[in-house]
Formats: sequence, C-alpha cells, structure tokens
Amino acid sequence: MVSLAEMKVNTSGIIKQLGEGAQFRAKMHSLNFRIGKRIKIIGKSILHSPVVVEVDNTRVAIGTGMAKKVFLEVIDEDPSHGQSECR
Amino acid sequence: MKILLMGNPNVGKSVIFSRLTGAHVISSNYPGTTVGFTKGRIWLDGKEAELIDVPGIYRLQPLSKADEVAVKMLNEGDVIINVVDATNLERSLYLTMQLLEQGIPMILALNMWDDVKHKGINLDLEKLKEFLKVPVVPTVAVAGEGIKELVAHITQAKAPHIHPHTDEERWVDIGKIIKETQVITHRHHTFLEKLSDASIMPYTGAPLALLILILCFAVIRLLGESLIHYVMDPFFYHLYGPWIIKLVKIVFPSGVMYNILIGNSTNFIESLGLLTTGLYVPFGMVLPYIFSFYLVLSILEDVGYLPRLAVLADTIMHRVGLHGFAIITIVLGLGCNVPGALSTRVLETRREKFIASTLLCISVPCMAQSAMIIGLVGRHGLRYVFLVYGILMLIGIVTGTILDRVLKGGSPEIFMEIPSYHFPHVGALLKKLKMRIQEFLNEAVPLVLLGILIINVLNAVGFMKFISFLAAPITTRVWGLPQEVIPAMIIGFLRKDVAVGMLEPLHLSVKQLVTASTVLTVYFPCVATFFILLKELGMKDMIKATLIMVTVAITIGGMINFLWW
Repeated sequence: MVSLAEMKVNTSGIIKQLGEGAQFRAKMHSLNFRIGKRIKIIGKSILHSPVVVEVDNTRVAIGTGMAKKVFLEVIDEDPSHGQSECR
Repeated sequence: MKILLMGNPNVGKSVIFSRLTGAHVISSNYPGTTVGFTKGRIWLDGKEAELIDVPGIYRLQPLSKADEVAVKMLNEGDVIINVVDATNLERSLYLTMQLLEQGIPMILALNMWDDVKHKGINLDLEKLKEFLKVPVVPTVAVAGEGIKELVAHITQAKAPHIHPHTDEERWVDIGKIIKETQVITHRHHTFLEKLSDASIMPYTGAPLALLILILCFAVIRLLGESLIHYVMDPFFYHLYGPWIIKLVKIVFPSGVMYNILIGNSTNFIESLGLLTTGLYVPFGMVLPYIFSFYLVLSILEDVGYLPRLAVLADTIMHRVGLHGFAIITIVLGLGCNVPGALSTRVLETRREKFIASTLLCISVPCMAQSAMIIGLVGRHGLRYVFLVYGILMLIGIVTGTILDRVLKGGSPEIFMEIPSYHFPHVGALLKKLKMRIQEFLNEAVPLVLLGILIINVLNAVGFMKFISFLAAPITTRVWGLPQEVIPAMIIGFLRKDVAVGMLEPLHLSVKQLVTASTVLTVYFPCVATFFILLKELGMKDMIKATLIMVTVAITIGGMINFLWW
C-alpha cells in the first residue's frame, strides 16, 4: 500500500484505507473517496501543490497533507479508466 | 407550501431556481456560488408556493457555515426538489439517501442530462425511479429543458418510508442502485477535458494562468477605456453637462444650491456637484469598468476556470494561512468586496475566515476604486497603476505571512471538486451580467450622491477643515500628503470611488497619488463591506481586523513616502 501523495501520475489505485478522524473521513466521503474506490492520478504536486485525481469521471484536487492520509493499492495501468466500480 | 432546492454543490440549483421563479440569482461553474439562501415564489395549481435556493451540500453533517445554512433550512421544507448531477450520480445519491430518510416528500431533478451521453454514461431512468420511489425528471437547466415537467411533478413528490440508515448501509444501497441503473462505457477524452487537465498541471497551468490573467486585464482595460472615451465622456461633457448646467442656472443662477447641484469646476470629477460628479463618477467612470470586469468574470466563472486557478494558487495561498479556494474570495473582491466577504462562508475555520477577510480589506481594491485609480493614476502612466497593485499584493503577502505565524492553528487543505469546462450559455451569462450591474447601480448611486452631499455639508460648516487639522501630523509627516486628503478618507468609508475622485482637485504628485491610492485601499473597508464583515466575523474579530488595517495603512503610507526615490 502507498499513500496517494506517493503515487505516480497516470497510475490508478484502489483505496484501501483512510486516515483517522471522523471529520476527515466525512470530508473524504463527501467527494466519494471511499474504501474500494478506484482513483487515477491526473496531476502530481510540485512544491506541495495539490494532487489532482479522477474519481468517477470527476476531477478532484486534494491537498498533499490529506493525500498522505489516503492509502491505496496500485493496480496495473488499465486503458478502461473511469470505470465506476462499486463494492 | 415551502419547496427546497437542495443538492450537491455546483449541480445547477441556482439555474433551476432562476428558471422556476424568473428571479435572478447568481450561478457559476464552481462549487459554493450560493452561500446564503434565496427565496422566490412560484405558482402551483393556482396556489402560490415559496421556493428556496439552498446552498449546496454533500451531506447533512455541516462542515462550514454555508453547510449549516443548508441543514437548518430542512426544518422548514414541505417538499424537496433534489437536484442531482446526472453525470455524477453515485456521489449525489449519498445526500439523496440522507434526504429521503428525513421523510420529506421529494422529487429528483437529474440535471446536466445533456452531458450524460458525452460522458459515455447510460442511465436507466425507469429503474432509478423504481429504486428511489420518487418522481425523477431529467433536466438541462441552462437550456430550460425539462423545467416544465419538473414543475408538473412537484405535487407528485413522494416520501417513501425509510428507516434511518448507517453510513455503511447507505453505501451498500447506493452500490446496488448504481450497479442496476448505470453503465459507463469507455470513451476518448475530449478536447475540453485535455484542456482542463492542462490548466491544472503546474507546468502548463501556471503559464496558462498568467496568459489568461494578462488577457483578462487587457480586455477589461481596453473595453472600459473605450466605453469611457467614446461613449461616456462625450455624453457627459457634450450632451448632458451643458444641458444640466443651463437647466440648473435657470432655477438657481448662483449661490449655495447651484454649488451643491453643479459645483464650481468644469471638470466633473472636481466639481463635487450632485448632478455633475454625483452622476459622472458612478456612470461615467466606474460603470464602464464594472461592465467590462463582470463580463470577463462571468465568462471565467461559467466556463469553470476559477477552481483551476484555486488549485494553482494553493501553494502561494498556504503561505498566507489560507488555501487555494480563497483565490475566489480575492477574484470576487476585485469586483466588489461585498460578495468577496460573503464567499468566505465556504471556508471552514474561524482562523481562515479572519485571515481571508482581513487580506480582502487590505489588498483587494474593488472595481469601482480600481476604475478611479486607473483613471487618475493611469494618466501618469500605466506603470504607476501596476505599482499600486504590486504594493497592495506585497503587503497582502507580508500581512498574511505574519498572521499565519501569529494566529494559532493550521490552515485546512484544499479538497474540492474541479467541474468540467462548459461553454457558457450566452443567455444565462448576459442575465448574470445585467443583474450585477443592476446591483452596482442600486448600491452605488445612492451612496455616491449621499457622499457628495455630506462633503458639501461638512465643507460648509467647516468640519472638514477641523478634522483635517487634527489628522495633519499623520498625513503630512508620515505620508507626505497634504491634509486635504483627510476629507477623501472620511468619504472613503462611504464609497472608495468618490474618495479617489476627491484627490483630483488636490493636484498631487505621482508619488502622492500612489501613496494616497494605496492608503485609501488599505485603511478601512467601505461601509457596505464593513457591515457584512461585522456580521460574518463578529465584533471581536472585526475590531482586530480593523486595527490591523489601520496599522498597515499608516506603515505602508509611510514606507512609500520615505522609500520613494
């Protein structure tokens, strides 16, 4: 498992774990960052700028500090991205 | 009957609201355009019903003040129109489930229906209706499609009996619904999507942002100046001016009334007459810039560029204790500080709101003031206008950095949806522009007239001379300005555009003009902004913010005065 902040651009992963804190998790859930969700990294940060990811056809910007608290399992690059798969 | 328009942020609730009520509310392509609620009236089967445009929320547990407003409204609603972004069904369903659990009758508007196909999504409407047990109406609000059907279904709103779910249970249900109703097929990225990604990546996004900002400034200035030069000035100086002077002369050949109405100069900025300066400043000098600024801003908003700017600015904004979203406060503030101040409601912590509001007051001149600065300072060269802006930006960064260090607590991070780019809908865009201009005229013209009347009265009774004398040590010794700028600062509390205009008859040097324009921006917010902030921040924080403003104003004025070559 790696954190979202460590993932490379254009790779995808499945969220396996979210950091502690009810507030944090509630916030994550509001934009559909949930365990089992597939995420693709669109843009990586330079100088601590936010990470831009794709979740369900939507682009979301997430600050690096928060990105460090989202853990994923990297999956192979799959051309059929944007698939909405739900557990 | 009270009908609530609810849903996630940026799904088009405000557009539907305008369509349903014919009332005008501001809508844009970024989350958080609506921060308070707007009420309107609609007719349903011959009866009047109240429609309320509620700020967008993702869940019923509030995270910000805008969220709180939304959740509170729930107690009042008889029917909910739940607006859902059809291209983002899964996420929207969470709030939908929560709303259904409240037991308030609901209908679902599947908005942005036209985008569903482009995005390779196939939705089974019938099945969705079956699952949710409420009426579902596809709509394309910007184009007005499906609105009639929506109205027709309001009375058929249903409240299926649902027991309160746990988070886990809700997601299981949502998973089931999505699996049964939605199929997403692969498709290639469109040009707009590629452009969208390019505009958020740091390497391509930053140059693009710079280009866009330069372009915006160029368009605003060119359009504003042209309108003044070719339309407003000829009108005021050749048509209206001579006519009104003649007219007033017939009634009051000279004396106090003539002075109050017309003033004693042929220059309409200097004359300080109600019918000359009082109309020339808002209509002749400021309106052209308000028009061009809001035209450009509305395009940027509706295209959906602002959230990208927020992402790009995030790193810089963190230095001043904020995160990227605060750039929207600044951009709105450049038009008028009032909507800028209101937009801080989306920020989560008191600390953030305090910093954002203080910086807004200190370093963001509104367009009315900018128009006057460009008019007066720009005469000596555009570089001096940029100098004023540069100084303001610098003190914003310095003050922000200090506040970030001094105030306890960290700044939350950005976590925001970046909406897809949309070609703006011309009709909606023009309506918004018209509304903002109307708002400006309604607010500005009476205050400008009042300001000028007050100047005349205070001048007549000698109050201005007295107060100028008292404040002279700071103005002359620290700022190097004549004590006559004090009346301008007093009026600046009412309207900053008039205040900058009052510098005209003083015939200041460039250095003094730059100092005075900067100080006039920093020292205090105008009355409209002041009261909004007082409400938003509370008395204690507002006093703190004000003390910071005054301190910064005295310091920066002095620095310009002493450091100028």
